[in-house]
Amino acid sequence: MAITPGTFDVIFNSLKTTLETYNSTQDPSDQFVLYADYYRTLPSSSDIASVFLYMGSIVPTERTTEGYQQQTVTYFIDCVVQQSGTKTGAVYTRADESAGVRFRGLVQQIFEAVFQANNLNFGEEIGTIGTKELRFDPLPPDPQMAERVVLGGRFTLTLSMCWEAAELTGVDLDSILITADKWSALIEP
Amino acid sequence: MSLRSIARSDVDANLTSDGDDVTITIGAGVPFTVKGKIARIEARLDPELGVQIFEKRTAITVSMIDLPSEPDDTWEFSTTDSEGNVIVTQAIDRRFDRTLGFVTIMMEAFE
Repeated sequence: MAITPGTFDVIFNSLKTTLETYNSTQDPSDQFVLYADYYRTLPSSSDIASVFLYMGSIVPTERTTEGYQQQTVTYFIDCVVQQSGTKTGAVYTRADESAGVRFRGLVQQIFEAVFQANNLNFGEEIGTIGTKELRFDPLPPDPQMAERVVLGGRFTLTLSMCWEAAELTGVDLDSILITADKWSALIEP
Repeated sequence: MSLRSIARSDVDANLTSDGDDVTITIGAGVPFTVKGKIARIEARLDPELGVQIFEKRTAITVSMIDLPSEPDDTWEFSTTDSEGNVIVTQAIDRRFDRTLGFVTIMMEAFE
């Protein structure tokens, strides 16, 4: 039997599409490169801004029953900026200063992409997502002496959603037979 | 000849005889060329995670006697790596060896 994607999986793909769509609306010089499920070392590219999308944890909330679970699902959106210095005439801007500007811009872009007023549910039905929280934590910068400065940080997107077991399969219930004699015998004094 | 003199002589020989051309520009001044050692690597290992981080690093070592003053962050260096790539960089940090008289300068690329 083929695997039916769970809600967390469906949302992962729609979140990826949302980020891609948002990115395509940006100026070419402000676009980032999006990687989904990229578990290798950082790509050796000359891209300035890179965004990595991963799935995080699934944690049940208190509102659960035997066949139903309200849960919070996290997704990680890692942001990496690799920037060179810039020189305009005699004015030199350090690589870390340029990287800091781009990094804050990238953080702003992710917030804008996730909280789009016309796409609050990432294209899914209203009600699929309960609550949405987006937290950002920068990684401590490495005081490295590389040609390009690397800055990184992680967004943690926490969504609440429900999970229900698949419906039972088998013969549908057509009728219930009640034996009146037995019933009456039980309730009569 | 003292041991230090021999060591200094060896350093000079390594930097000048076996060195590569490094062109230095100080502010709006006229560029001049000295001989130096260029170390340019592609990647390193993250000591905590053990993963490779691709980030080019360039360090240039030159004899201090070839320089008009101690280099600072405004100095621009250009040179060529082993693949023939022309690298134009800005000095971001310096490590002096005041015994043997050389300085290693960490470089930052710019656009």
